[in-house]
Order: sequence, then structure tokens, then C-alpha cells
Amino acid sequence: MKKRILAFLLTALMGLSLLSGCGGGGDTPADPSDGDGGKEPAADAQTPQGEKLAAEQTLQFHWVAKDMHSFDNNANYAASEIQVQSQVLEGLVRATTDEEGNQVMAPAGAESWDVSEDGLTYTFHLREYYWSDGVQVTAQHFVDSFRRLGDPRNAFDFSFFVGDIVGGTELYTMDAESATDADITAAMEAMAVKALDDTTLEVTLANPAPHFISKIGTTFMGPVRLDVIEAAGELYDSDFTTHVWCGPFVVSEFVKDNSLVLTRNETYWDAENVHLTQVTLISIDEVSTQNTMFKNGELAAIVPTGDYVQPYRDGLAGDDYEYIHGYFPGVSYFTFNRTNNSLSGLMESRKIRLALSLAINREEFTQVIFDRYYPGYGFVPFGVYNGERNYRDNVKEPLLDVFEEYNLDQAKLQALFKEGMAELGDSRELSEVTLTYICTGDTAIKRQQQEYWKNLWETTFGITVNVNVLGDSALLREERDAGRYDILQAGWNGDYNDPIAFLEMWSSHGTAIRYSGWSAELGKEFDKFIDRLNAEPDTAEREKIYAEMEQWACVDEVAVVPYMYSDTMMCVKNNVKGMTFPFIGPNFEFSRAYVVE
Amino acid sequence: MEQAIDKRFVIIGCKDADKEAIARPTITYGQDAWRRLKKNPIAMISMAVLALMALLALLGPALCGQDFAAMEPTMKNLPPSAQHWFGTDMLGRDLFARVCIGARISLLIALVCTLVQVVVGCAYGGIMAYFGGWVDSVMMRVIEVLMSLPYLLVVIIVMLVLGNSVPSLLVALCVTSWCNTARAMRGVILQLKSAEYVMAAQALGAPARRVIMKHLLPNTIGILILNIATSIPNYIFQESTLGFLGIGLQPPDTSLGVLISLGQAAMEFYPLQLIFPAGALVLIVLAFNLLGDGLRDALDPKLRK
Amino acid sequence: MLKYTIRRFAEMVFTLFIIASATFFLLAAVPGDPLADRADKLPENIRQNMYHKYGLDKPVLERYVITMRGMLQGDFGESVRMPGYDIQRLLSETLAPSARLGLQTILLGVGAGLLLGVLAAMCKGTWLDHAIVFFSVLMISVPTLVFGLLLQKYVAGELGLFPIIGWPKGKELWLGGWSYTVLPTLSGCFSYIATYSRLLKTSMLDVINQDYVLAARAKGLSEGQVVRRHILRNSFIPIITVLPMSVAFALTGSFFIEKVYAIPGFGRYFIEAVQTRDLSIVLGQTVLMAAVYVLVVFLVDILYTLVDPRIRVGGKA
Repeated sequence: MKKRILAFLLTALMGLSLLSGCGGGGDTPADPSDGDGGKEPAADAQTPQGEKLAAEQTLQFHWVAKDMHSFDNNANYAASEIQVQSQVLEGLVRATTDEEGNQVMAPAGAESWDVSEDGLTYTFHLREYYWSDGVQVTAQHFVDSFRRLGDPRNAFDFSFFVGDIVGGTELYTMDAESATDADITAAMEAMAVKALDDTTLEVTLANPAPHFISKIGTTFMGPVRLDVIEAAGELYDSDFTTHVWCGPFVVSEFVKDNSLVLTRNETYWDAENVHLTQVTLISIDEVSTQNTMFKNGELAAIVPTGDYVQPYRDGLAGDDYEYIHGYFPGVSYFTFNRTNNSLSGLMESRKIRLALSLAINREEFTQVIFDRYYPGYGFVPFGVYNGERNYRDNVKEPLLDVFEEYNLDQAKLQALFKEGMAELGDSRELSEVTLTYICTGDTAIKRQQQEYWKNLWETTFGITVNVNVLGDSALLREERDAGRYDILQAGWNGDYNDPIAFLEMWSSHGTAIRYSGWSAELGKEFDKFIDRLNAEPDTAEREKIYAEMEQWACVDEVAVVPYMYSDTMMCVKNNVKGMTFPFIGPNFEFSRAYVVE
Repeated sequence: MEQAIDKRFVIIGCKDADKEAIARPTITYGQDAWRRLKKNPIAMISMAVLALMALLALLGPALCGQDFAAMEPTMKNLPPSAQHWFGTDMLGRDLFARVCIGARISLLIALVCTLVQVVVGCAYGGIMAYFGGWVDSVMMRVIEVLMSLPYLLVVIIVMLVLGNSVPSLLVALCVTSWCNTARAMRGVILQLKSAEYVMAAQALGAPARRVIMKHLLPNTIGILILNIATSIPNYIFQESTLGFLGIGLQPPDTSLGVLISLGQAAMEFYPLQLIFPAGALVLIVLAFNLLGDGLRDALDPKLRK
Repeated sequence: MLKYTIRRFAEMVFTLFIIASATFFLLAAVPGDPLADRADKLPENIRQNMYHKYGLDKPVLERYVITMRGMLQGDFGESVRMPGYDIQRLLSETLAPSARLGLQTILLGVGAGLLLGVLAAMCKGTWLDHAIVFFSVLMISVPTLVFGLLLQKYVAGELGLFPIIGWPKGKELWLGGWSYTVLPTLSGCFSYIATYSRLLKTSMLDVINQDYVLAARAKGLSEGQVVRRHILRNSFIPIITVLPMSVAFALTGSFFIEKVYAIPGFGRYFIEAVQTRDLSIVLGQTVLMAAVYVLVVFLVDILYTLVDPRIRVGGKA
């Protein structure tokens, strides 16, 4: 079952595989045994709550080892890599959660930072901390990292993260084939990242970007050591022994595509608050095995999937764990073939697109098919922050009003569809209309969805819906790029915590152009919002622009039909405390976790 | 000579000249095999089981009156009942109908693949053995190339190129499978060509037709039958393994392999969803194996008593 | 003999070349490439730079020439999914667990299979024969994955007799850490038991009816001598044809068993590499497997002469 759901998560919610944890965790991260003097916590040490620390401070988690492609933090792109790097690398800030379970970017490598009035210049003040080989982590290591990340020759997945910085976009969008090394070096040096001294880093942004701190907190933007990289040569990607570390743990053992052992980093600046002596991450492919091991106490946490969700949620799987359910920055949606060659020729009509969107009973869908997840009436999921403002708390989901107006009234929806056809000069009956919907996946849960959509649109409008299920994503891409479809199902995960991480895809440079049937011409219409946003440092004002963007994408233009937001579910053994589950970042933030008796 | 005949003897003709003739009716090879097969109760039971399974595979869905592909979200994971004989699966589809359809497709795949394997293998092997020389060498190289490609790799690549469907699954499973048959046939025919009894038959002036029908065929058919009997369950297994890898059929098509892999996912909570299709698989494979054993005994002229 | 060996070797090299080329073009014909899924959601410039970095922007024929040239020098190229790894490094890190699991499985499976095969042949038609057939069919009918999971859940999980997952490492890589290996070995051995018991039984039944067995009996040899010297020896010929291939196959790992017991072996790559279109790994595997196969066929031919006096390699009998 796990394979099925995972496949669903990975493909249906395609986004860049930045799986992240959730908010909503009830467990307050306690700050255990303060002032223990940086020593190994004594066996009888107590937490502020008076709990007794267990003698053995080791944990084991399931972790998808085959996604651990590289130990190079700039090169990382998968959740597993982020999980490891977040625990062995100390960037400027660290993603964690506050007492309400909301994501915060806590000072880490940077003790503090200043932002200029115009929101463009960030000055980070680094604390004095060291790599595991005794070399101090300096501002230059961040400069090197950002330049390396943006280097077009490296073609790192997340190189666009330097795009906010002055000169960053110019750097990462260079054509590696035609640009000379000198050009690239010049562009790297021109990027506005400066080490003012060993502990002061100054970054100048091209446009105000309150989410920049959220990006800085990702492991891709953690420090690197060029001397270590050079010494390691070709082994830097694959051989952990060539690396030095500066995070709470160090890698002490790695078995390719199988397991990884982390041990406490004694030279970590905050080592006194790191209690776990050893954490084992191991790949356990079968969910049934995970279940057996969680019950036996061999796994500290489990992410229940498929048939296991219900027993774990309802407490039937035992009483020695805490069930955590929260938001996840992912949205599932439909888009249309908007490149003027849709199969039916009908996708140019806004009314038809809107009718298709309004025909969806999102509550029923999530309830009947999944019995989890959140019905989505907007493109930005719950839990996303704009600066310090919780976006969804402040902005009503754009589809709600118009959905209420039609209220699944079949006659009204059919009339809307017919109006759309009339506008296109199409006088056929509804029963003569055929729409083609392409998707991948032949797992049970996907089959069920495909049937649901087909059935839903066919019964609502009296049209015919062809479901073209393609064998794999490569075949889907072929079909999609050839334009042989009307409707496309896709998903997107936010890479950082800001509404723009979702909305930007509809711009003229956005990924929707290839990925979601969008066209550059349509993207240009959206660019007017981006231009306004780029001039606006104030988060309250930005929020209004975001709301307009979302309204435009979901209702005014009906570029997209969002229908569902993802969630995360997790069960953690009761004797494991102090874990957090950042909204964006690693699945488990266990650097300050501890085991009680 | 006249004188040599004793007068005491009277020639009374040769009325009983046919005394040496075989009194009982001669039976053909096929009749004999069938007669011996009938004496083997296990083979007969296996045959009956197979007939029953085939019948169910063809008529089962009609019998229980359920559609194998119709989903009913409100009827998920039901236990067996009068309406749903084997219960329903996680999408509320009738499991009995699905097992029947699964068996149908699995049997179809196995039979078609075996047929292709035997026909192509025999023809190819026969040609190799008949012509010999460089033709044999070249054709042998082709087999070597095909057989040294990792089987799974070939299947996955073929499935990726052709897409998931029953025909492409047939192609994928057959691409390399005939090689072994061809090799075996070549070996057997080469061996038989120089066997003493063939030589004897030829020396006695038996026509080529008789040599082929009475000597070559009965002696290769044993190998062929064994080949078929082991191939059929093998194909069923191979298809089922591919089902676990998510390669093979595209819904709504289903097979025992697909059903077992779905059942495996649910086995912790609904073990029956695994047990029913797996049970059908065991029955079919067991029956084919036992029938194969019986056929082998019955068809082997050396085992004639 | 030497001439024969040289000829076989030349043929082998040619075969490998054809196989490598066939694999390359087949994989090129499959839609998709190792970067496609990843790059589909990236900005266009990064996507192009990425294809350029891995040389996937070149035309197919040019890539073919580059690949073949590399292969001649023993360089299959770096994996795209696993930077820093080529087939040699991957094998050196993952083959040992697979090989040990394979060896143990083969030893147990073939050993038990041959024993049961002899028993079944000697007691043909009795309840024991039928029980053995039934048992072996039942065991192979249960998919390896299901059987592995059941063993794991009940024997390891509930009874706690063996570790749930894991595999010996470090000093215990080849010897020791036996408790880890019990369940994986058990899960895998049944297909061998079924195959070999059946094969030996069939072959023995063939031999039992041969004239030379009758002759041996007529000479007044004891039953034990007849079975050992005449029946078994001759019955092993088909086994020898199949066994080396089984060993070669088993050494490279079992996808399902390694998956269930989290064994860091080579089995997974057969499927994964094709699915991710990771050309260098696929090519490496194919050529490796093909080389092993061709070698094994050659060895089997030689072995025949040792077992069966009627066959002589390379000349007329």
C-alpha cells in the first residue's frame, strides 16, 4: 500500500520532491537539561518536566535511501538528502516549529541578521562555530556556496534559489554550452554576496523578497568548503569520508541505497542540547515491515499510508505513540491544454473551464477517495506563510464564493458549459462533446480517481470524457508535449515557504509552460502581478497582490483547477520527545530530540 | 524337393497363416497414451480441475452476475457473502468476478505464450538441426545473444517501448522464451537422427513419413509435452512477478499476478483478498504440474508396459 | 581444445558487442531519459544546462560512439542517478551481500531440491511423491515477496527469533551474522527446491528405464550401486546444464528478498536502472550478465565431458 501512496505523493503532487513535515504537532519542543555543560548528558539527567532521560539515546527512522543521491548539499534535490543535510550542516537559519506548530526559521549559524528598510539588503552576523576538522565556518563559505549553487556548469536543480540576489538570475540562466569559463566566473563574482569579514555576510536582493530567509534555511544554501571539494575530487558526491560537517551530527556510516548512521557531533556549537548519540536512517521498503518494527519499538516514528492510516489515526494500532496530523505545502490540480491546440478545441473558453472546475465536489472527493487530505478551493495550501503572515488565515480561498453561487446545480453548470460553447461558435449538443483527460498511474487509488473524474464530468454535463492512462511519466510527457489532450492532472509542492512558491509557475518564465499546458503568452498577462510584487517590500501589501494572483489564476482566468491540498501524518513513540516536523525542510527535525524512560 | 516331402504329411493349406497376426486391434500411439493417461487418477483429477478452472474463467463472471471492473466506493473490502462470493476489494469490486477474469487472462497469456514458444521453437530448432553448418552457427549465435540478455531487463524494456497491455505483455514474455525450446528441439532431433532405432527403421526400408511419424515424433513429443507443462505455470508465475513490479497490464485488465500483488498490499487487514487469487494460482499451477507428469508418463514410448 | 577455446572466445566478444549495441538502442528507443522527471519541473535554463552537463543533449549516434569507445576501455560511464558511481563501483559495494545470499539460497535450495527429487523418483507414485510435488508447487506459488513478509512478520516480529531486517556487514560480511541470513535464505530457497526436485525426478525417471541400468541390475549390482553409479551420475547431466546459470543468476541478487529484508544488495538495480533509464548501469549489467552467461555455457560444455563420457568437446566422439 505504501508504494501506492508514495507513488501518488511523488507523482500526483509532483512538485520538487521537497517533502516536508507538518505543523500542528501538539508536542512542545522542550529544551531539556539546560546548562548541562556541553558534556554527554548523564544517564540520570532529567528534563525540565521532570522526565528521566533514558540511558540509551539512539533512534532509528525509515528513510528512502535510494533518494540519497549525493552528499553535496548544493547538488541536493530530494527529501532524503535534505533530511540528512539538515542534521549534519548548520546553515544560517534552521527550520523548526514554534509552540503552535507553525514553521519558524530559528537563528542557527547566524546569531542574528538585519534587513534594510527597503527589504533589499540582508546582513547576517555569524556565530563563531567550526567545521568538524577545526576550521571556522566563515562568511566566505556561504559566498562560495551561493556562487557554486548558481554556477550554470553545475546545473544544480535548485540553482534558481540564487535568483533573488542581484546578479543571481543572470548567473543561473547563463547557457553553460556557449558561455566561457571567464564569463561565468565574472558573473559569479558579480553576484551581490559579500563576506564583509569572517562573521558578516551581506546579501543584496534584486527585489524585496520576505521569503528569502525561508530559502536561506534550505540545505542547498548551506556553507561549503571549496578546499574540501577540491581535495575530494570525484568522490565528493558519493564518499562521505571526504566531507567535513558543521551540524548537530556527523555521518559515520553509509551503505549505498540502504542505510546511514549519524553520530553526535561533539564539536557542534550547541552540542549540549543535542542528546541523541546515534541516529540510524534506514530504508524499509515494505510498509508492513515498518509497521512490525514500529510496534517492536525498533522505529521511533512511522508515516502510515494506505490501509494503515485508519488504524493508526483511530488509535487501533496501540497506545504508545502520538498521532500527528498537519499541513503539507502541496496542491493537486487540473490544468488545460492552453496552447491553442487542445483536442476538443474547447479549452479556450473560460466558461467551460470554470464549469469543469465548479462541477467538482471537493469535500466528497477527498472524503470518498482518500478519507484524508484537505479539499482545496485555492492554489495556495494551508500553512503557507508570507513573511510573518499566515496567508490562508487572512485570504479566503478564491473559489469558495463562486462555488457557492453555483452550488453544484447541474442545470446552471450545463448552461455555463453551453454558453462557453456558444461563445466559441460551437453549436453541438453536450452529448456530442468529447474531452480527453491524460494522467498516469494504474494503482488502485489512481484508478479510483480516474473513474471518479470521468464519472463526475460525464454525469454533470452529459459529455463524454476519455481517460487516457499512460504507462509512465515519460509517455505522459510525450502525449502532453504533443498536445493530445484537453485536461491534465498535476501537482505542485512548494520549495520554500511563501505563496509565490506556488503562484510563480504561471508567469511567463514559470514552470507551468512546460509542465502544465500553459503558454508564454498567457504567462505575460500574469507578469503584471509579478512586476507589482517585485516593487513591494511590505508583507501586508504583498498579501493583497498574492490574493489577486490567486483569484486571477483560479477564477478570472481559470488557468488552474485546484481541488486538494496534501497533508502529513506521522506517529511518534511516546518516549521520544523534542522532535519537530518543519512545514518545509526535513521530514524529521530530531537534532534536539531525546528519549525518556 | 518333391522327394523331401514325407508322404505321411498331408498339405492341408495354410488356413491359419494369420496365426502370427496380432489378434487384438492395433492401437495408435495417441490411443495408447490416452489409455495410459486414463489409468492415472491424479492426472485425471488434474484435468478435471483444469477444465473446471477454465470453465469458471470463461463463465464465472456471468455466473455470479457481477462486473469485475465496476467500482462501488461504499462496498469496500467486504467479506464473502451471497452477493459477493469472495467479497470485494479495496475499490468495492467483486472479487470472485475479478479472480475469474484474472485466471482467464493469466491462462490466456500462458497458453498463447506457450503456443508461440513451441511453434517458433520447433520451427527454429528443426531448421537448425536440418540444415546444420553455417546456418546452424548463425542461428545459434542469435539464440545466444537473446539468451544472454537478462530476462527482466528485456521484459521491462519491451514493456516500456510498447506500453502496458496484453499484446505487449505477450511479446515481452515470448521474446526470449522460445530459445530454450529451440535448443532442446535441435538437440533432440540431432540425437534422434543418429539413434539406432531410427537407423534400423531406415535400414528396414521404412519410408521417411513413417520414420518421422512413428519414431521421431513420439520421441520428441515427450520433451515437448514436458516443455509445455512446465512453460504454462512458468508464464503464469512470470506474469505474476511482473504484476508485483507494476509492469504488465493496464486497468481494467487484470490477472492473477495483479490480483495477488494487490492482495499482498491488503494482506495485513484483509487476508482473503490475497488468499483467493493465490489459491486459484496454486490450483492451476498444481494441476498443470501433475497433469504434465501424467502426460509425460503416458506419452513416453519407453515407459510403455 | 585450444583452437576451440579461441574460437569460442572470439564469438563471445562479438556476442557482447551485439548485446551492448542492442541494449543501447533499445534504451534509446524507450521514451524518457534519466533527467526527464527531475527536469520537467525546473526552469528552462537549468533544464538545458543539466542535459548539457550529462551529455544527453547530443544526438543518439554520437552518444553511441562515445559509449562504445568508453566501453572498449572498460569505462561504462558514470550513473546519472548516482553521481560518483559507475557499474564497477556499484558492484564492488553491493555484490557481496547479494552473492552471499545467493550462495546460501542455492546451497540450501538445490541441496534440499535434489534430495527431494531423489526421494520422489525412488518412491514414484506413492503418497511421498505426491506430497513432495504438492509441497513444492505450493511453495513456489506463494510469491517470494508475500512469503518473505509473512516469515518476517511472524517468525521475526511476533516470535522474535531472528532480526526483522538487516544483513551482516564489516567483518561478518561473508561469515558470521548468521541470524540475519536465516529468513532471507529461507524465503528464497523454495523456487530452487521446486525447480531442482522436479528436474532431478524427471531426469532420474528417464535414466531408470535406460538399458544400461537394466544391464547393471542384470549384472547383479546391489541397488545402492546401481543408483549411485549409474542412475544418479547420469541423472545429473541436465542438472549441470541448469545449475551454473542458476548460480550466476542467484549471485546477482533477488529484488524482492533484498527489498523485504533491507539487504544492501545488487538485486534492485536490475529494475531500477531500466526504470530510471540509467544507461551506464543498464549497459554494465547487461554486458556483465551476458559475459557470465557465455562463460557459463562454455564451462558447462567442458563440464559435460567430465560427467558424460559420451560427449567430447571440440572433436568427433
